Amino acid sequence: MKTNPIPEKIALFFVVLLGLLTFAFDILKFSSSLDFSQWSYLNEGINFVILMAYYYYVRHKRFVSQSDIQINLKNFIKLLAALYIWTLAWKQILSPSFVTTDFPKAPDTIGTVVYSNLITFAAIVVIVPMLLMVKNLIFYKQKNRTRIYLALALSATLLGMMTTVILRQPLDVSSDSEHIFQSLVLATGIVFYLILATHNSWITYLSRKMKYSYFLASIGLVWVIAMMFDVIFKESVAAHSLVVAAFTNLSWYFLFFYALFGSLTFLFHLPTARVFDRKMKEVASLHQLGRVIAAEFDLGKLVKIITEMTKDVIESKYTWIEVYDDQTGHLSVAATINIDKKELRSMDNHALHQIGIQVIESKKRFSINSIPKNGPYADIRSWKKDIACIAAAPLLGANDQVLGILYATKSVEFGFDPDDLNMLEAYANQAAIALENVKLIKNSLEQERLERELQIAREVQMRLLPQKLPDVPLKLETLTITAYEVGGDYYDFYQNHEDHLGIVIGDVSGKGTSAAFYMAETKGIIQSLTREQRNPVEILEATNLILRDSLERKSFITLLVADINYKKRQLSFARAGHCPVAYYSSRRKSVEFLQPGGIAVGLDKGPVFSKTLELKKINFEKDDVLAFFTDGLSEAMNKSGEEFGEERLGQILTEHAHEEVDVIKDKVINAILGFLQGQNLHDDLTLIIVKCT
Amino acid sequence: MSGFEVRRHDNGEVSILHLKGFLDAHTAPQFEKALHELVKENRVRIIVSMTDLDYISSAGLGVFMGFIEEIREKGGDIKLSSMSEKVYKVFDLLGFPSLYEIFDDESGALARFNETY
Repeated sequence: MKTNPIPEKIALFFVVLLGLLTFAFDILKFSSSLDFSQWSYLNEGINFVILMAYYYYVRHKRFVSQSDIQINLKNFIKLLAALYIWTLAWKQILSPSFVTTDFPKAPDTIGTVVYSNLITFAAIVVIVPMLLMVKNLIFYKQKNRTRIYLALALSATLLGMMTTVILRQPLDVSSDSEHIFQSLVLATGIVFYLILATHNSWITYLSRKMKYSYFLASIGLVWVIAMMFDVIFKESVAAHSLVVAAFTNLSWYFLFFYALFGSLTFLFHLPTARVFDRKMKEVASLHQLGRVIAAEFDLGKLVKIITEMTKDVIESKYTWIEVYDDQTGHLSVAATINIDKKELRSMDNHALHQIGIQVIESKKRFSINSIPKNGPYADIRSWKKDIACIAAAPLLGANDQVLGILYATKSVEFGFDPDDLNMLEAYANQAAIALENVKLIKNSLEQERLERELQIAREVQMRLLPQKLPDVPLKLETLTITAYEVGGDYYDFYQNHEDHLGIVIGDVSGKGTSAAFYMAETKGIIQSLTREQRNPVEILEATNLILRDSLERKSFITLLVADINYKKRQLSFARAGHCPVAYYSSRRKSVEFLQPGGIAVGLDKGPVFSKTLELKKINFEKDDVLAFFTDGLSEAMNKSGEEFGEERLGQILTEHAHEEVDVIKDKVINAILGFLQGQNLHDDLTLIIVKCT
Repeated sequence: MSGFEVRRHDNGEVSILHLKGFLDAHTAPQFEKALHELVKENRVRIIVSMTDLDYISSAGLGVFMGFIEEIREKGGDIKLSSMSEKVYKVFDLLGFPSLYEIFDDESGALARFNETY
């Protein structure tokens, strides 16, 4: 809202003051015989100012700024009624009469002077708001040019007001050459009024009931407006002011055309009103459905909403949805309207099953518009007498699989028109989208949860491994590469005896969090067992006994416990199903893989384990190299499916055994990476290199 | 993910499962299902023939362990046959030869079933 330099109250004050002034002028003109013609322009000017001031006053008032159609129309009719009542009342009281002179007619009595002033006042007070209300209706649905047409219409009106004052001719259409100019001005104005009269698209969106009742009312309204000019204004306003008379006349033309076009538009909308209502309902329902689907993830609620919407728009009697139950592999009733869920579930109606099968196989909608009393679907009628027609639409998923079926019935034959069936399909589609959405979200949440689990398992695994190398007179290096899916590799060092270093290496079968847990358990067991003086076989036997009960049947753990006496240069180890130890002899300059007997932990209760487990002892020399590894290394696979293998490891050790342990480690890493060529490890890889001093 | 197939072939009281392809964590459930069916039918004299088995992982080995106790309790057994050298190495490393009877071919395993029972 613009801030006016002149507050509205001052405008109103001027309206009243100037109104009285012009009234005085009229009285003077009437009662004296002086010639006031030169003052007449001033009088018209003042009247124009009154009109403008009143417009200024009233334009932001609430009752002319309503956007609601019904309120605008109601207010309009109220003003019109008030105008008529005002006029007819004063007409009775004052009985005005006019002298039959030229335009404008002069008042015959003083009472007529008063009357003309009162009517002019009423004209201004009523017509300006009426025009503003109609403007609201016009701008209900603006088009690009609406403002331009309004400006043009307004300009034509102002022009007409000016020419009427100057030429002192009424605005009439006549072929008289003298009056040609006024005719042109009037014609121009009417053209723009007609254009504005077509701006009544607010009518389109009214409900059917409103269209009918407003049409009937509009017939009367058009008549009332038509008569308005002759009954009320004609001579009375012109007698007081030409400028206001022209304004009133032109406004009347505009209001009349607008009302007439409005009435005709109502008439033309009547035949399609019902269908239009239905279409609006459909659009609104799809709109709502779209929003609901995006927001609602409760399958039960969703299905219920969709069923209700179907019934509302299609106006079906029995409506229900069946959804595929993943667990049972059958369709089961998910939501029903007007019919009991239990009844549907327990009922074993052959015809209904047939329909369902038909829909599932064809993946298309199916409908029977009139169920014959005999024939394949007759037992639907015997189940419920008031099913005269039935339709079913499939809910199809992204891969064209049937997720469910939406059923609707009506109690009149041929009750489903093409629109109904299309809407049924539309709802079924939306329902399918909703169902898939819910599944996807569930899956994605599940995925996230699994990722978190893996993350935790990896962190656990990292923390269970030794954080630093033991301080012994041996050259040690370790290498751990974890696969994406946590693999359960484990290694550790222990020193339970002077001059001894113990090495443990193992691999829990399986992946993920369970592998990490078994690993943690194993670490705990081994750590406590190695506190006492036990040899590798004893440690492993005790471990097997303890773990056999907590391991799942399908799980097992490969372990290798090695005891290195670095003073005596002796290695003794036991291998419970684990990879062999690679031993490079600096004297022989060759690698052998030591694989004493032994089965993995968890495969047997104890007797076979003990029977097969061997304690292997070797003596080693300075610069000999031992490598302990897990099958993540030997089984690392390249693109062609070839495994890295023990031989390759042996080759590298042979080639680089003379180097420092960290160099040997790097060589192994490079060899593995080179071999993998970008392929991912599918199992954790662990390597411990010991160089004897 | 490579393919895997289990084919069943009954020979009197003995059922033979032919494994083909790659037996890993992804395909292990198929093998499990086949064994489960046999146990359900109470056919507990089983030979697993691995002529066409290219690869086996710890998950595949775990499947055997999942059923062996129940099968032996019912008086049956799982005997292994026809492994390639590569596959045998995997079994051998873990110590399976001490737990299961392994034969070069099916007939050896069949004969074993016939003589003991």
